[in-house]
Amino acid sequence: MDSDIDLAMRREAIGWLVRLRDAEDADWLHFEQWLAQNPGHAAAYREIEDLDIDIGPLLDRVDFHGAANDDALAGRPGLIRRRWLVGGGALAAMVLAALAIVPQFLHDRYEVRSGNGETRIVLLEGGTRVTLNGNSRIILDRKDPRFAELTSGEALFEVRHDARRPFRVLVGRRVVEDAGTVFNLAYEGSSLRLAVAEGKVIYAPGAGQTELEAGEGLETSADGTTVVIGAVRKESVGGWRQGELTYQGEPLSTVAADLSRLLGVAVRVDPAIAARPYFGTIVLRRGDATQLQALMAALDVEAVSDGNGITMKPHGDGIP
Amino acid sequence: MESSGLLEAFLALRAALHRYLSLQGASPDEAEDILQEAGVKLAEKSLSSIENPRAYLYRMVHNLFVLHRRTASRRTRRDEAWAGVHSGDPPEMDETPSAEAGLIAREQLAILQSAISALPERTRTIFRRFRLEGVPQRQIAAELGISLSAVEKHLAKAYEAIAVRGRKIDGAAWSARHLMSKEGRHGQ
Repeated sequence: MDSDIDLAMRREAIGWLVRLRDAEDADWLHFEQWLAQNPGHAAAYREIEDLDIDIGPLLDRVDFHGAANDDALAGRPGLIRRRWLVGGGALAAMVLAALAIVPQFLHDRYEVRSGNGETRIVLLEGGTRVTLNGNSRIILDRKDPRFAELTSGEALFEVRHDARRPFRVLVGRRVVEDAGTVFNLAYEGSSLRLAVAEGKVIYAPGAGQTELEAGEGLETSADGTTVVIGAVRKESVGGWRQGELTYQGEPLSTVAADLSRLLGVAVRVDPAIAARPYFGTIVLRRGDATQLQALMAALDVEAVSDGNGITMKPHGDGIP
Repeated sequence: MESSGLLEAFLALRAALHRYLSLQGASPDEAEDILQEAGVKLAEKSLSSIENPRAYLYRMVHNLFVLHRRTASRRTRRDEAWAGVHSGDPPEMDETPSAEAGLIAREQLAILQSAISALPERTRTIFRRFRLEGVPQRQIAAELGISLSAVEKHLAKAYEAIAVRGRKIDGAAWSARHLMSKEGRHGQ
């Protein structure tokens, strides 16, 4: 099976293919480091290099001038992001329909917030335990212990399943429903990340719903129209509670958001490298921002501090 | 740097180049063969001055490695399609009759054409300058008055589109090939 890791690697491999053609000494050293980082990298590079060589003889027969052929395949390559596309507009419409199930007794709602770099644990009736990561906000309901709304940040949900009363989390305009479950939800800049450690979770319950098993995760685009499913390491879900963050090719923008919550300082990332995938596990002491500088070397970025946190930037001019 | 300088650089970097080849998946014997070959070629060449000797040597060794790898795999996977149409098959089943091969090539061309046609005009132009005409990226950037990293992004987008489209022929074959290559070098 193809995984999001393969696709992230392919994207990196393409970057190297392009860069190495007019490369200088340092580029080859960096390329070698990249190969050494992950045994899959050489295979990913070979894949794209073979493709590049194989199209060679075909290219002088390609018409580079014509406007786009409107064949069924054309025009939507950008939609396929990491793995496979679960749904487009239809799913978004369905998610809106699902909103109707949310109870409307707003005066019973209350908010729980966590400060910078701290975690909070909330126990709910029915055996649910919600652990809130730093700088996160959740709305709960006194009358309905099977409801939560994550308005920002990240939380781990450990839910005792009750088939008659599924636990539902509202995130933006989306609904996530447990089916016997430990799952993690992060909600940042209106894009949602969901990872399932145990049991099963239903995303956008209803007709055409998406069911995720333990070891699967999902990520939506900010507008909710693109949903990408991928594999996650079950053992790493909610690892942030112990200060442990594990990545298998997630973009640096995700790493930055996680670091912000864990360390309690704003960590931003230069758009030029925001999409760069990161592989590895980071272990940090919660709330201790002094670890950032050392960490930046491990992430192969430069940290530029400003009054209000830091920004990860590429090294020097980075690109040849 | 004189030609002997490049040879000296080669000798100094020999261990590093060997390590590089191993990272690329070459066996120790294969790496040794490639380095021998490179040494002979360098001794024959009369190069006046090389600005980036490491880049020059890595590229040279890398190209030799690709040649080795592709020659070896061609023996088992004859007429392999660019999108890996048949690469998932066991070698003994990979007996594509030439008429069919022509058909596949036409199909591939159509797919490649549709991938390239679907690109925005600027991306298409940059990809043509780079891949077909072999213009250095710096020069493309200067011609269009954009940054080098913007050129890189356009090129990455073009390759991404072609790679995605390549899978559309037969996604399973692509995956199978990827798995095979992960397990080690294929084709004996």
